[in-house]
Amino acid sequence: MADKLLDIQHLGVHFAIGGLFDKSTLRAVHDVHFSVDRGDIVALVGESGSGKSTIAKLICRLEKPTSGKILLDGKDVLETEPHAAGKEYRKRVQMIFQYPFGSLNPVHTVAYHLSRPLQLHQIIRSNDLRPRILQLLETVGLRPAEDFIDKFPHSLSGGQRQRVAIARALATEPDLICADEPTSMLDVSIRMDILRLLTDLRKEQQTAFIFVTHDLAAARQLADRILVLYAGQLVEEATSDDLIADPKHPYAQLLLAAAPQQGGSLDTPLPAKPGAPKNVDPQPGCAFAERCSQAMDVCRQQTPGWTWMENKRRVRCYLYGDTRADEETTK
Amino acid sequence: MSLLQVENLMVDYLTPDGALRAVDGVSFELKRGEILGLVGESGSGKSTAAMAAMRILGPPALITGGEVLFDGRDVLRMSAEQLRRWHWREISIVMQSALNALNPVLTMQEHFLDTIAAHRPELSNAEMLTRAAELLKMVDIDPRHLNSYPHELSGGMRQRVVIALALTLNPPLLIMDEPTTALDVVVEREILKRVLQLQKEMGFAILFITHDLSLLLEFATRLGVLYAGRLVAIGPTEIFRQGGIHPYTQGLLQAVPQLRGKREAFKSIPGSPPSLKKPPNGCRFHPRCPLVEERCRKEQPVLKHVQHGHQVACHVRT
Repeated sequence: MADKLLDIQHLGVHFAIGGLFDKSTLRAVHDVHFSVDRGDIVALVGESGSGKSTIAKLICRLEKPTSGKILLDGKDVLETEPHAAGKEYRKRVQMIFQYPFGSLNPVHTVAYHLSRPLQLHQIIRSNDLRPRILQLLETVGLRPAEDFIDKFPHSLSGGQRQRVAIARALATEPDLICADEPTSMLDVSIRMDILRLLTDLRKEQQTAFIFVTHDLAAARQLADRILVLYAGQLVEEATSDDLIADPKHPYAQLLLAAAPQQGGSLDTPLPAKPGAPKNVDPQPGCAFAERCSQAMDVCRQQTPGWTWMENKRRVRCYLYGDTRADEETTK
Repeated sequence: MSLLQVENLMVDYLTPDGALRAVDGVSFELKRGEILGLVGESGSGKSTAAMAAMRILGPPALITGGEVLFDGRDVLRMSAEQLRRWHWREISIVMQSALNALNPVLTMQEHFLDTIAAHRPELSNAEMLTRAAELLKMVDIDPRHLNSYPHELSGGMRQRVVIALALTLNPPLLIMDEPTTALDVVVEREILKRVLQLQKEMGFAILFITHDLSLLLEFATRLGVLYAGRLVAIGPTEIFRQGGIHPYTQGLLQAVPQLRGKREAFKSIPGSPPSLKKPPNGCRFHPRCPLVEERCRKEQPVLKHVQHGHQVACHVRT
């Protein structure tokens, strides 16, 4: 397909942990498979330890996968650039981090932060640097830009810093931005501003986003599609509306039931047992089986494969079909 | 008589550039067995107000005015020894970061023994251990973890332990300062459910501090909203569920994306919370308020009764 931008195939990160005598494997990310079209906003949703941030870092090539492929425009970048991403890849794929206090250098001005990507990627001649920086600041809503360009990070609020971080990511005019919980450190009253900014950028510049979040309501607000992760594995993919209206995977149902919402009540029972994702020395079978209230014998024996449904929806659960994961690809 | 009564509380932070008023004339009361939620953004003074009422704030914070009564006793005039006896027996606090609240080189057992021995020295070691095991079971943790160190427990388990520690001496008031903010939604919900069950069984009151208004709507009896050090709305939760009356409360409620219903346009409150170094004149919310009028810029509004025990500080709404 012409507009497929990023294609992730069987991506995995397995670590060997422990000492000489008690070796174990930690599966941070396992057999993750999805694609992102140009201008698409895809949300990765899950709890801590689900691997959602790790996937964003793998795609931005800040961490190395131990298996799988990352294809950008059909080109396998792990094969052509096995050790580190090339300049071209870095230019096209950018990242925004969760913590806007840590992602900007306190001894440099806003202008410096934004000039670096422009100079490194030789996007602009040095004479045009300042006008372009002003333009970037305008784009992210820091107006009048002249007031912000020479400021240091400490004199900006959290929301303003996050806008600078977004402007920095935009400087290279990337095709894809991975945003790792870009609003979770910000005050409630300004979170929506940042989300709105991301949708505007998509509209105006056709930038695609991978939006990493634990907040299902924010994912629904922003994203076209939601991918749900549990213990490093994708368990469901659907359009945002489909997923929120009718989550199929029992873990997606649990996440939705646990999200605070208007008219909700703490008296409503949760549809699963307490527990945490188990990433160390995973046993065969569905990772969620031990917490799942609908688990069957087969769920504990073999990892479920994908069952496809209408509207390009897929769910990894035996409740919807008896497809088993191909053990060759899941090892 | 109310269990905790805070009247016109003022707290300053002394900075090199002069004093900065973090809590400015905040008043609220808490009855026995009640859950009062205090909600606000960062810098609104919600934690400072609660910690000042408990007298656990140290320099550079300074309580510069007001009155705090606990069960009729004047908290601001308590001696160090009186405070020591009051803390934990009658009022305890659960803070946000359970990792920092526990000592990394002590086991769970040592944490409990320490606390119990400090306040109930008459108990034997065996009695204390029984009590510790009982407390862990209360928060759904297997008592075998008495021998675990903090790093061996997950974040959710650590927070459960901190809650159990806070309830060790059956205090009538538990302050919870963002107790679940660092946790995942599912764990958050499991812990809150347990706390509310315990609250019903044991009958303690909770002062619950958070930035998450939608969470409070699900269980608080009453709610107070703080903005830039001032209480702008307080009253029964029902009115907040219906959308609130103060424009800031309304803005906050609309700024939270919803799971149900139509996907609406992105709503937010323009601007950002003010700096406490130079708070705006008049109503502190006026630069961001959609209903702003001339007198909002000059006169500071005070809390006034609007309906059903709901008070708001707003010129336009009262």
